[in-house]
Amino acid sequence: MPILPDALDEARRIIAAGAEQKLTLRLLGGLAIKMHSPSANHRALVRSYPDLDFAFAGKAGYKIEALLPPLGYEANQAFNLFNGAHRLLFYDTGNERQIDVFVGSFHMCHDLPITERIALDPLTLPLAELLLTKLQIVQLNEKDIRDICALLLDHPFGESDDETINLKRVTEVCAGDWGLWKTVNVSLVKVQEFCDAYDLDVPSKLTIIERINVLRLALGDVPKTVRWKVRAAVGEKLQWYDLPEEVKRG
Amino acid sequence: MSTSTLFLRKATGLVRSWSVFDAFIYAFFSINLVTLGFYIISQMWFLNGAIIPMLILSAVFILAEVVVYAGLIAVMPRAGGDYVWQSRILGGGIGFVLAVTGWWFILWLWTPLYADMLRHIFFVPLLGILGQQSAALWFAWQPNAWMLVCVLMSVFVTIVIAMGMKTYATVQKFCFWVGNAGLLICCLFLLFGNNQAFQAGLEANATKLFGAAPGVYAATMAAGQAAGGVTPLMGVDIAAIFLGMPYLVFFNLWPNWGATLYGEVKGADDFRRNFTGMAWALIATTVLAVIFFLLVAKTIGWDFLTNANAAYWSYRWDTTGKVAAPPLDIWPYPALLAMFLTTNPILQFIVVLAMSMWFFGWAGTIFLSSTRVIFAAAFDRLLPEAVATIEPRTRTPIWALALMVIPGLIVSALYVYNVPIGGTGFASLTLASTLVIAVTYLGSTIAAILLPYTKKDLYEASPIAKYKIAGIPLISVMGTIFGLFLMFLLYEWIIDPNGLYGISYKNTASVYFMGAMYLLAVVIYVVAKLVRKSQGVDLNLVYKEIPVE
Repeated sequence: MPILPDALDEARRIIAAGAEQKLTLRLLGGLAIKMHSPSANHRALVRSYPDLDFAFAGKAGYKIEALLPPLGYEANQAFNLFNGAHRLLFYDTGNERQIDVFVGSFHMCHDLPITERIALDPLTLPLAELLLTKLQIVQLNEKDIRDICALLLDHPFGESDDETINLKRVTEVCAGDWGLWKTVNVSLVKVQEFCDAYDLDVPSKLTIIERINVLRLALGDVPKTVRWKVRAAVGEKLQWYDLPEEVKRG
Repeated sequence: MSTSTLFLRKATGLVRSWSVFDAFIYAFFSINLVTLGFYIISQMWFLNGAIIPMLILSAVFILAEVVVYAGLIAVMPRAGGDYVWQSRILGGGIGFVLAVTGWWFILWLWTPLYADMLRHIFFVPLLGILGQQSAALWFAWQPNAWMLVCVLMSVFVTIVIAMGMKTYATVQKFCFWVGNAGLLICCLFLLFGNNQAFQAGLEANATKLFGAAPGVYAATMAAGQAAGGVTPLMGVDIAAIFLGMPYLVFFNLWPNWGATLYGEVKGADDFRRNFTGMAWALIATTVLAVIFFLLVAKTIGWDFLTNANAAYWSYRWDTTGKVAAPPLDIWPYPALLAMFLTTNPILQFIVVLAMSMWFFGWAGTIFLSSTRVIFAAAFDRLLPEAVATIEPRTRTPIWALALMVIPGLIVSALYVYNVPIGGTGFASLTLASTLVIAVTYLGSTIAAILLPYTKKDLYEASPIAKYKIAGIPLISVMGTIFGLFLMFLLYEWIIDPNGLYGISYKNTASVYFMGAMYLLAVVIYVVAKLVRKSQGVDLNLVYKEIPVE
C-alpha cells in the first residue's frame, strides 16, 4: 500500500503497521494535537504539517528502521547511523514529508519522560505529554504557539487523561526539573502574549488565558524535589536548556 | 503589545550527542599527558633539547593548528573531518589517499603503541602493588603479554565505541575527573615529598614490588649516564629545542583529534567554540606537563628520571645484546615513582588505578575518530555501502571496527615480535605513526589555506569569514604557519640529517611500511572509481557536493 497523501491517515497507517509487529508508536507534535483538537482547524490556528513525529517506546530502533522502508519511506542513512540510538529520520519524497522518530526518549530543549505512559492513547501521546513537548521549546515559533493555543482551547486541565490535560502529570514532571519548569513558565507567558493577536473570539482567548493561569498556579504550588531546589539555587546563571540544531535534508 | 519574539525554527531539530565540554575532554585526552606524554618524553632521553621550553614552543605552533581545524570545522562541520575537507577542496583522490592513510591505516600501528602504554601504566604497576611480581614482570617484558594486552585493549575499545557517543562521553567524563584526581594526589606527594624520601621509597618499593637489587637509585643513575641520558628540563639551546620537537609532537600534535567527530558536537559551526575546546585542551595539558615535571625535578630529580628512561629504553632498543637490563626492571612510570613516596599499598593501588583512567578515557580515540572517516568515505561510495552500516541490536559499527581492529592486531604482531622487513625491525617504526598523520594534516592545512580563494562562496558564507589579519583570512595565515611547522617536522623525520628519529628513508622497514599504506590507498581509490563508473556513478560529481548531515 502506498503512502497516503493525508498526513493523519498516514500516521494511523504507520501506527497500525507498528502494532502488527508489536511496536508501540505514538504520534506527537502538531499533527497529534490536530487529532485531538478541532480548534486546530480554526482559521486562526490552522498550520501546515510537513513532519510526522513519532515516539517509540522501545530501545530497539532497528525495528523501526526495518518497519518504515517497506511502507515507502527512505531512511536518512547518515543521520540514522550517528543518531539512531535516540532518533531516526525518514523521508516521504512524494509528499515532501519527513518522519521523525524519538527512540526510547525525548531530548530536545529538555528531557521529557514521554514513553512512560505511551500506551494511554491509541494514536498519540497523552495530552499532558503533548503539551509538555510544546512548552519545553525555548525558541517557540508561530506553529508551536498555534498548537498550544489549540490544545488549551479544546481541553481543560483535570485529573485524568481522557480528552483532559492531566494537570498532576504536567506539574509532577516539571517539579523534578527546574530547567523544564522555568522554560514551561516562560513559554506560557509567551503564549498568553501572542494568543491575543490571533483572530479568535474573546471567549476563546479568555479560555486559553484562564487555562494558562491554572497551569501557572499549579506549577507554583506543586511541591518541588530536592534536585529542583538545588538547580533553582543556581538559577539562570547556568544555561538551563539545550538548543536543538536544524538537520539539513539530504 | 507583545514584548516577546517568536523564532523561525523550521524543523524539530536535533540535540547533538556531545557538548563542547565533551569535545574538550576528547581533545584533552587526545594529547594525553599520562599516556602519550610520559611515554614519548621517556624515549627522548638522548636528545639535548630542554623539555619545558620545547613543550611551550611546540604548543605555540600547535595553536596555529587549532585555529586551522576550528576554522575548517566551522565551515564544514561534518563527520569525516579531514577526508571531507580535503576531498571537497583539494579533490577526491588526494582527500581519500591522505585521509585513509592518516586516519585509518596508520592507526593500525598505534594499536601496539597504545597497548604498550596500557601494560606499563595499568598491568605492571598494579600487579606489582598487589604482590604479583612475576606476573608484573611478565607483562613488562614478554612479547606474548604485550600481544595479549593488544587483544584486550582492542576488545575494550570496541565495547566503548559500540556503546555510542553519549555513553562514550559519560565514560570519558568519569575518567577525566578520576584521572585528574589521581594526578592531583601524585602532585601533592611530589610537592610535599623530598629527594631523600624518594630515594628511600624507591629502594623500599622497587626491591619489594619488582625485585630490584638494593642500591637501585645509584645503579639507575649510573646505568642511565652510561647509556647517555642527557635531556635537560630547562635550557635555551634553541636548535636543540627544535630538534626535539619532531619527537615531542608524538604527544601533543593531536588536540584536533576529534575533528572527524564534529558532526556530532553541539554548535560545531561556531568557530570560537571549536577553538576554545581544542585550545584549552592544549593549554591545560601544557601547563599540567610543566607543573608535573617541575615537581618531578623537585622531588624525584629530573636527572634520575632521565637516567631511568635511558637505562630502560637503551636496554629495550638494544639489538646487540650488550646493554645490561635496567636496575629498575620496569618502565619508569612517573606516577608510580611518585607513589613510591609511600609504602601504603592500598593508597598506591587506588592512586595508580585512578591514574589508569587517563588510559581508559583515552583508549577509544584509537578507533573512534577513524570510524567517522571510514563512514564518510563509504557515504561517498569510495568504500562499499556495508562499511557504513551497524550491527542493529548493539549499534556497533562492526565493519568499520573490523577494518581497524583486525589489521591493527596483525600490525601489532609484526611490531610486538619485531618482525624484520628489509633487514630492519618493525619496532623501529614508532614515529611513523606520527609522520603519516602529519602528512594528512598537511593536506588539510593546504586545504585551509586555499579555502578562502578556491571555495569563495562557501568561505564567505561561513562564520570564519570575518576573521582576518592585515586583510588576509586568518585561516590562511595560521595555515601557512602550521604548514611550515609540519614541513619542518617532515623534513626532520624523512631526511633526519642528525639520525635522531629512526624513520628516515634509510630505514627500509619504514619506507616499505609507509609506501605500502599509500599504495593500498591509491589502489582502493582507483578500484572504487572504476567499479562505480561501471555502475554509472561519477565520483567526481560526488565531490562537488558538501555531504549532508
